[in-house]
Amino acid sequence: MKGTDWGKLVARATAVMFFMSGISYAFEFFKYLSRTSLDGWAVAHSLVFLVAGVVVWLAGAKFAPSEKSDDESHLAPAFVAAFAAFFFFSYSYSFVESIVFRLRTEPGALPPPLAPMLFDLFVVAGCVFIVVNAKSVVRWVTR
Amino acid sequence: MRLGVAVLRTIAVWLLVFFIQSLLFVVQLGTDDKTRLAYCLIAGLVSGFLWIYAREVVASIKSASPVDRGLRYGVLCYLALTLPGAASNAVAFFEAAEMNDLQEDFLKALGTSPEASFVATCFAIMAAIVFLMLSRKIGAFAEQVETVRLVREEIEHER
Repeated sequence: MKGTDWGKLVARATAVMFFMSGISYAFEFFKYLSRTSLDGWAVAHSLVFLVAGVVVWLAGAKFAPSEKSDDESHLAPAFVAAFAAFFFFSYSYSFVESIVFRLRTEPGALPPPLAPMLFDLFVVAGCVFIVVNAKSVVRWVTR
Repeated sequence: MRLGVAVLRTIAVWLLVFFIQSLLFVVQLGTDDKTRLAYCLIAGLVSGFLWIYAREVVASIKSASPVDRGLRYGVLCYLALTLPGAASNAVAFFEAAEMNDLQEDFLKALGTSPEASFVATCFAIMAAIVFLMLSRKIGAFAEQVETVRLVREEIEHER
């Protein structure tokens, strides 16, 4: 890994966190909508995080300090793998929790919606892909 | 080495904030709230451990590949930040019978239950241990995937 742009890498990792929080809040909104009345806070949170994600992703390429360092470049795949491992566990926890809750919901009660579970599964699979392709991901993200 | 220690000590400070936050709740609500008490206790212990042994922990993470090292740090960070919650979930599970209807309805609205959280906690901790045991193999596999990709790219470039 020659000359990893750390500024861009960290900015885009932050943008990914914003995106994931935004989508999670969007699912929370649907979850509450199906159970109780319309709840505006989840919509607002979701929109703020999604817009922030887009801004950080785009601005990260332009305004992040572009410091290409060869000395620390070998750490970039480790950084990406650590990030993916953390999210893998967070989202697999949430996935298993939803499955158990779904299985144990009393007959007749409204089960939790399927979409958040599928989102968790998608993130878990994405994290495995990122760990296995950490070096390629670093190259693509810092392009 | 310095970067690893900095990361672990940042997490230690983070946990210290959680510790103080839950300690304030315990003081305010009294020791009857055992889930908060468990959270507070484990957050304090993990925070102290991470701060004191950060150098030793970083020195023990010797790995063959960057991906392997990253995986170990990722799992470690996850465990450190989750263990207080896991302790709290375990206490909530064993005390579920004492929960009142209001608390039960609140958890149901969130799409969870003490049982579901407890099972998920056990799963996450077991998965973390398996990941740590397999991290060297996963790292080696990632290196292999990268090598194959580079060779393929080189062949295509030559063509």
